[in-house]
Amino acid sequence: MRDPSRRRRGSVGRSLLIGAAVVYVGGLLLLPILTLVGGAFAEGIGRFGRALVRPDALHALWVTLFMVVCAVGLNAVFGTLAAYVLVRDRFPGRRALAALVDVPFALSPVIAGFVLIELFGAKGLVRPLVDALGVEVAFALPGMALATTFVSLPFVIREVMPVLEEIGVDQEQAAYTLGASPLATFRRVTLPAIRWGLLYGVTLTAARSIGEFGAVLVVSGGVAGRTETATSYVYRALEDRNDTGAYGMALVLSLASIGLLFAMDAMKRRRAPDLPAAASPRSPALREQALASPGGSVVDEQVPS
Amino acid sequence: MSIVLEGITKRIGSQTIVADVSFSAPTGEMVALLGPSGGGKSTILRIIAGLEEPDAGEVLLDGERATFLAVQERNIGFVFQGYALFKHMTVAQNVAFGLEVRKTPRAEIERAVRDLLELVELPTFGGRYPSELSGGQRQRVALARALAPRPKLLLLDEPFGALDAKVRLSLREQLRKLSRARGITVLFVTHDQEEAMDLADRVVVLHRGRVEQIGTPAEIYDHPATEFVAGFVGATNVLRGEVRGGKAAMGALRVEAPPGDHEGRAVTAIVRPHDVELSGRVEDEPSGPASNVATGRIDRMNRVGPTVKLQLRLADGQALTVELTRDRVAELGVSEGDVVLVNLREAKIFVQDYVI
Repeated sequence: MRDPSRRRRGSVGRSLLIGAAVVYVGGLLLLPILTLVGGAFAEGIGRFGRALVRPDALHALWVTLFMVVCAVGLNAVFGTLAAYVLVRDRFPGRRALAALVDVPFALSPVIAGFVLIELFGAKGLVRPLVDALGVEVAFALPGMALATTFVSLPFVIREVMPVLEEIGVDQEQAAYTLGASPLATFRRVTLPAIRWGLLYGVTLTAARSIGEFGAVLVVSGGVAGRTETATSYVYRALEDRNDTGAYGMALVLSLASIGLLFAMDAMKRRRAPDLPAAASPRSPALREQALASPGGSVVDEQVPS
Repeated sequence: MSIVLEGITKRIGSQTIVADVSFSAPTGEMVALLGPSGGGKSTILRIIAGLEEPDAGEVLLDGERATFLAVQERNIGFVFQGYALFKHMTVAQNVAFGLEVRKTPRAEIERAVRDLLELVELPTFGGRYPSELSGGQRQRVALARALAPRPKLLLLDEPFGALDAKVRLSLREQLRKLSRARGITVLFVTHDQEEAMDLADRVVVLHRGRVEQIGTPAEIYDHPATEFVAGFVGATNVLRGEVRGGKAAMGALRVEAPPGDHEGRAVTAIVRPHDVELSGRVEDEPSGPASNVATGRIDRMNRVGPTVKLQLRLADGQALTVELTRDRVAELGVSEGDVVLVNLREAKIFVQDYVI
């Protein structure tokens, strides 16, 4: 008889599988990051710091931040709106519109940038509008913000739509019967119900916006100190053999994106299925205690005497 | 609040969900919309609430035309089938919602929430989330939430559907007390005829979007207007036969036929299990259609509480369920496999579509 206290050792095949997974994820993801860290500090921490506070580097960071804020703001508001309409309303062309949402995933960002220039450029279709407003779009910040918004458009919609489908209309209708206006219902019932989906969507939008390169480079022309984003700064720094600058900026961008993803993962874990999401700071242990408290058993279904 | 429905019709695509439904309920009455699933009951309820618009017809609330009035302005309470509690709010926040959107002062809200949770017997549950409650508790929270803005009309969609029998009975009692105490009109949808009979002052029986009958539970049970009502309400046997010599003849069983000349036409007899009389055993099953003695063989006997259910197979092959008291069965001294004489004390006869 086998000793039950002795666990069966993983077979050779199992070890190989684990090894492959570690090499695959670790090698392809971790190695480049380590290289980044190494490269950034290769010439000492002082050089790293100085490379980052150079005016064109700082300006590039500010431009990227501006892009992220614009893309997140626009996509959070209009993405939620679009998701709401796509899920709740029935209108001709709804399916086509829902399919169209994924276009930025399928289309190369370079093409997106090119199309924007064509639209807003000197002979562009919407040129009269641009002239009327007196705001330059192509080769300027507004065009870059538009490009970033375009490439990150699907995230909020794709994250919010399934949540809206899942919660259904019952809670919203219940709010109506209780006298709440459609706006109050959205703010107090729908929005809290979709907040996690929205938060994921925003996180992904931000991460994508930070890393966007192609579309923005095409639209901006990448003028240093003016329309250069952090990613195009990395590109230029490499061409200029400013390795520390390139590594440093790349490291900052990577950390920002990875930080966002980790934050999202933490949010996901906090949101246990079918439990009141993080609105309550109570720990699971406390909750169990509450459930077990006298007079509060979940199964008090006696006929009242 | 009194309700009047006038010729309400609702179509979805080419399908008519609700067809020309009219009924009314005076203030303070408890009305059940009874019918099988898919009969259009919930749609009617949602039209009254204003969650859906009818294609034709009018809804009058307190005598005023309200067909296209916004949900928010109807002053109704609605308890949804799945309760539809706000999952991200505590029980107390759920109950307070209807008062908060009305800008009720804080102190008043707190008092109302306390009173309502007391009323539905969940006084200590204010801080819980809906996911921490059992089905019956959620149902009671939904009720308290619906009652908070003091509606004059309470609409409930299959309110006790998913709950076990004991909880159902207790909640029924609570609802009855509540409607009496507050004098609100209650309209509830159910597919459970027993629930409708037990709780409602009046029952509207619906079938395929049409009203089959409106009446008190006693009227519906004792004088079903249509074959559908007779078959749906209460336990019933359905026997087929035809009119012969002025009588409805189902095999050897004979009952007075409805007045008029229906000679030769097919009839349906609706027979309650307790309206069948058995008398004595017969040694052998009489054979041949000429026999005018109705007999049946006892296929199975089940004791259900104080009564005994007997499954009979009549001489012509039709099945008949009979309910007798245990004493009566002992008196008869019958057991499974015996052949007994059968007599119908009462039967409701429907000649094709013609009703007495």
